[in-house]
Amino acid sequence: MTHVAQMDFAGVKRANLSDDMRAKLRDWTYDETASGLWLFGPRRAGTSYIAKVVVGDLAHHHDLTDALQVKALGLIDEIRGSWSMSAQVRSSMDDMGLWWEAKNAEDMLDIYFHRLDVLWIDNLHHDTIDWPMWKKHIQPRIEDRVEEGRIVIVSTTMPPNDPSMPSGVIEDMFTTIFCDGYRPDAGR
Amino acid sequence: MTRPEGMTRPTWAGVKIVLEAIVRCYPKAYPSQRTLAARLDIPERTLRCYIAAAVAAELLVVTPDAGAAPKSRKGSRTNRYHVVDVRFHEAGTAREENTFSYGEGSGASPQESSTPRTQRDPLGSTVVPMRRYEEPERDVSATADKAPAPSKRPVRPSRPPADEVVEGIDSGRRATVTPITGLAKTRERRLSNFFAGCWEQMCLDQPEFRQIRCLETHGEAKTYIKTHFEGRTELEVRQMMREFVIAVSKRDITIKPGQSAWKKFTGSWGRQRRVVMGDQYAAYRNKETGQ
Repeated sequence: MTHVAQMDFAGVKRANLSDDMRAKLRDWTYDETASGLWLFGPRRAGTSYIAKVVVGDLAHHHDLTDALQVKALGLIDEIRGSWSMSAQVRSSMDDMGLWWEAKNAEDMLDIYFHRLDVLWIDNLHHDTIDWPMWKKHIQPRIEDRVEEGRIVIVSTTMPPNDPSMPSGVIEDMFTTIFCDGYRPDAGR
Repeated sequence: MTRPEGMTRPTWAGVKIVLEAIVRCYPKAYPSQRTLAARLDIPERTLRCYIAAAVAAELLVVTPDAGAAPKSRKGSRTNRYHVVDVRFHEAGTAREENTFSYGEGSGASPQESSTPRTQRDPLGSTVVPMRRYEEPERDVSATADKAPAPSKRPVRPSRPPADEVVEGIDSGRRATVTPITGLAKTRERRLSNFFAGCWEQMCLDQPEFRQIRCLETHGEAKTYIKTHFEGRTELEVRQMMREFVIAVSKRDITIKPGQSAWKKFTGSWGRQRRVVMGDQYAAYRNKETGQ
C-alpha cells in the first residue's frame, strides 16, 4: 500500500509513451463518465508504468491526491485477515484489543472501496492469485466503486476476453487498454 | 484548506499529511524529524522539504532550541512546531476519529458519557491547538474536590456472584433452550433452508436422489446468496430454487457424479478449470498492428 505522496515519479513521464497510448489515456482522463481503467498485457509489459503515469497525471493536474496503490495479493490478504479476525472476535467477544483490530481492518477496506479518490490495483496476475476468490469477493466491490463514479485503475495480466469472466463485463465497466512493450527498463 | 500559490500539488499533499501528523502530536508538538518520517513512511529529507515548504507558506512556525538545554554546552536541538491554520487541527482531529487506536475511539467512552460534549473543547477532542493550550491547574486544593478521572479501561459485564449461580443450580433451574424450528433470522439462512427443504421433499418422492448431497455448507450457500442474489427478492430466489428442483426431478438437469445439488444450482462446478488457449493476447496484438 503506497500513498501518492510517497510515490517516486522521477523518470515516469507521459512523453515516454507512444502517441497512440497518450491519445487513449487523454481520452480516458477527460471523459467524465469513465471511471474504470483496465490496463492489461503480458508480464513485464509496462502496465504498472502506465498506471503510474496516469496516477501522477491525476495527482498533478487534476488535484486527485487521495490516491493509493494496492497490490492485488495484499488486498486479498487484507480481506482474508479481516474475515479471520471477525471469526476470532465472534469466538472471544470480550477481547477489546482484538475487536479494535478487526474494526481497523474493516475500516481499511471501507477506505479502499468507498472513500479514496483513486484506487490503483497493481500486479493483478490472474494466473497466480486466487482468482475465484477475487471474482467472488473483490471484483463486485470494484465494479460497485466504478458505478459510483470513483476512479479504479487496474494493471493486470487478464485480458477482458478471458473465459473465466462473463463476456462483456469488463468492457462495460472499464476502459480497456492493451499494453505491450512499455518496459520501464528498456532504456527510455 | 486551499493550496498556497507557488506550491505544487504533490508538495501540497505532502505538506498536508505532515501538518496533520504534527497536529496529532499536540500538546507535545516537538516530535523529532526521524519520528515524523517513520510515522509517515517518507524519507527524512523529503520531510524536511515539506516542513520548509510549510514554513515558507506560513502554515507552520518552527521554534528552534525549544527544549531545555542539556548539561553539555551544545544547547537544545529540539524544534517545537506550531501549526498556524486552525483548520488543520480540525482535520487532524477528524482523522484521529477515523483512525482507531487501542483504548481510544469514536464510540461512547466513559469519559464522554460523564462529560457532555457541549461543555468540552469545541473541536470535540482532547487535541488542543497550541494557541489555546494552557498549563493545567497546579493548585492541589482546587483539584482535590474534583472527582477522579474515569478509567479508560472498557467496562466489562460483571459476572453473577457464585452463590447466586449455585443457588440456581440447586433449585433445579436450567437454561431455557430456544427451539430451532422458528424462522431463521437471516435471509441467506432462510433461503438455504428452503433449498434444503425443497430437495428433501423431492427425495421423498424419488429416493434415487438421496445419494446426492444437497448443500455443501450453510456458510458457503450464505456467501453465494449474499454476493449473487443481492438485488433479488426472496420470493424470486425461492422461485428459481423451486424451478431447479423440479427440473432435476424431471431429469431435465443432470447432476454429475460427486457433484452436489447446490453446486449444480450455482453452476460453479468446473468453473475453476482453466483452459489453455495459447497466446491469449494474440487478438489484441493483431488489432494493434492492424492485421
